[in-house]
Amino acid sequence: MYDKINSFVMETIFPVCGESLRILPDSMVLGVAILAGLSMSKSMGVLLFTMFEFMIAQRVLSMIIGGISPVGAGENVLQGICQPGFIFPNKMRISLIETVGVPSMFPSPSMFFLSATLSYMLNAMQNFGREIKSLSGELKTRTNIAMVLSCLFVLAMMTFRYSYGCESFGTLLLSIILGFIMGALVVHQNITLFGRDGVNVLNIPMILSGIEKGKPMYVCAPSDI
Amino acid sequence: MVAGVVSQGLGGIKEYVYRGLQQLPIVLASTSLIYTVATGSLAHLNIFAGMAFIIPLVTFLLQLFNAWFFNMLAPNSIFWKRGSGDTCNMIPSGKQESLSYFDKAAPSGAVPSFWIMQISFFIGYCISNAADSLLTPAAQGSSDINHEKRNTHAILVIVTTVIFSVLVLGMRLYFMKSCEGIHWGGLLISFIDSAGAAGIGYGMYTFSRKCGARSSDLFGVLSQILPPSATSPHPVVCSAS
Repeated sequence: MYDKINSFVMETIFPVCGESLRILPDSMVLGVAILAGLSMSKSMGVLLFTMFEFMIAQRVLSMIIGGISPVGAGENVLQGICQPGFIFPNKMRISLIETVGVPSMFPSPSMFFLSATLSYMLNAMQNFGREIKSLSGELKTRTNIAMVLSCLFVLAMMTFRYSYGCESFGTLLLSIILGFIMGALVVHQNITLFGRDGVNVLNIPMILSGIEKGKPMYVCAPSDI
Repeated sequence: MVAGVVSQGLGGIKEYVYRGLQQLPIVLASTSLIYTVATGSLAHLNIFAGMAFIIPLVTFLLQLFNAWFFNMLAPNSIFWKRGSGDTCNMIPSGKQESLSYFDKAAPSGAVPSFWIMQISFFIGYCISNAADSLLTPAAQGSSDINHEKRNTHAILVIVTTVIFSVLVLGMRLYFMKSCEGIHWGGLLISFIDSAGAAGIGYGMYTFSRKCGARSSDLFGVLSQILPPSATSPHPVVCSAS
């Protein structure tokens, strides 16, 4: 019985989890593209556009940093588990992250992309603090949970890639920090380009004040003046 | 040169879509996981839980039942079997030397496959969500224009979901038909089982709806409805000058 459970975990659960984490950046792009197409939601379309922006940013950063000082690879960087993208049975591999972006040691394409996307979504939510406060306490709890879960997820992903020797610790840490900064900056860029509804990842109704709507404000005063 | 670049680009898209289709359940479950993590969305949490835990368990039990039941009726027949091999596997083995876009599957276990059950669950959830968005009545005193906008968006979501379902299932049956059943009998059993998976999707939507429309909404249609406190007449405060 123990052997059966052990083989089920080792032969079924582990490969599925490993494959899911390995293809994660590419599967996110395809998944968000599908959801954006299905929902016709502006914020999802903007998120998809932003993902491509992160890939281009990774390419540019990699060119700049690689030109100044080459960064050493992790010990198992060429192993299958470290390679993002869809792998065919004949080992042919296709990855958007490394086609629009570039395979590089720094910033790590997977970790940079993941942390930038999570940072973008978290910062976009924080931008709707006024609405979240007004609508319900439940949304406030959601955003707090999202913050904690995102940090834990990035930590888990970092552990996964470090334990498989895909990148060194410093590369991973700096890629995450760079990704978080990039995500936060792109939120402000998107608000300028697409308006606040472009970063409304929670799809909540927006509160617009009278001034924002361009309506006049009236001040009541005693009638005997 | 331009023709070469275009051809290479189209080839890349074809390969990306093909492999994305093979791994679609993993793609959708991973995306839902990321949305759950980044936004705390209950709708995505339910989709992830369904696709990662509930449906695989239900499929495993159905495969056991189908193998036992149909083996009594037609022992070792291909009637109730599905194909296997690298075309059908969601996780690549890396053992195949050449690449084939069409399946060369050999008979293996009983129907249904994990793929069709997980995708049917997702479609079931999406259609339930879109239909609910359309059927939810407008709150008393709400703006007619907003209600009209919501209905238009809901209809659009239903149409895109149907197109997506037809496209995905059509491509699966065109390229990887035997993965869902070698014989027409196997395909029929797969379709009946996948209708059940879509029903579980509806059940999961109903379950998450109990936590509120805003929480269960995947497409941002119902989330746009303002709570009654926001639509009630605002108090007017006047102060002495």
